[in-house]
Amino acid sequence: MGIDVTSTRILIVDDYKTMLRIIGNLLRQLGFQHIDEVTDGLSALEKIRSIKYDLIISDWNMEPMTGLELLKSIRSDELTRSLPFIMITAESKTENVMAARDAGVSNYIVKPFNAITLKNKLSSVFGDF
Amino acid sequence: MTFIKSIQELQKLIKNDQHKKTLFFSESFLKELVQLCHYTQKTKQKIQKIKLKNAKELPRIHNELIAIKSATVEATEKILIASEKIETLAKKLPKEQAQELYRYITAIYEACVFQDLTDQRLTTIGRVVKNLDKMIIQLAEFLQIDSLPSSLSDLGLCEDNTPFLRGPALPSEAPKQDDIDQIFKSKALL
Repeated sequence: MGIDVTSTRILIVDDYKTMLRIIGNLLRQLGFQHIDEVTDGLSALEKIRSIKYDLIISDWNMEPMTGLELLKSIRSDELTRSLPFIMITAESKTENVMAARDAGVSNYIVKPFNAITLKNKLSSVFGDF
Repeated sequence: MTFIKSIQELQKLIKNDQHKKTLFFSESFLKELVQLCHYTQKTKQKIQKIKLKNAKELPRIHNELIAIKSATVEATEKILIASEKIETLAKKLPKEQAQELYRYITAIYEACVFQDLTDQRLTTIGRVVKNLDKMIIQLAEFLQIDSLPSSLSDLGLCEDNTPFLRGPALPSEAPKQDDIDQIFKSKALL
């Protein structure tokens, strides 16, 4: 059996508050309890420096820092290099997916998505739960 | 001196030329040149018309896009609040019934992702429209169109009549139901 969802810490990053709410609600339905939300990459980096997260879930199209830039920043820091990172985005072209993969994304979800897809991608990171 | 007047002066000069062959080719060439001139003038007028129309319509397009964005955010917010309340109440139900409700609530959450995508599409539309307008303005500048008449009526062109059916009013312009009721009542008294 995989992780203990009740103690797993997840940070969601999206500039649309609606999306933060939807993803947060879906995660809570799966039993996750420690969920933080921020609306931009810079705030995410600040939080990541002070709190040990088990997973980052991020949008791509954000300003001033895109989700890809956030990912690269996380991967370039030795302390956060292996922090699991799932991109949830409307960007669906092959080159986008490849760019995220090359930058070290753990998994990639395209919007619109469903709860089963989210659970599967989380399982790919944490193991079955 | 305008370009057309210059051509006309040149025509006069060539007519006085004694060499008939030169006269023939020159006259044909000048005819084509005058036609080209008229065509260019008409094109400039059309571009000016588009430019004027855009200047009038673009702010409205921008406001309509903002209105759509606001409306979808508001509606989605209400849907989520209601769904979350139902989810809380579902916890009080027997497990099987609760599970069934959770399935439907999950479907609602999934559907609400539409708001994010709609917003992004609207942003794209706004950007495209803005770029199109920019290109028209650049074309007008390139063709030095600002020297032309600045209103549609000066161009002898009709403005589009505002259609009878205009669709929803912008939130800032939309009358409330009370206002409509007042109008309705006032007509009834006539």
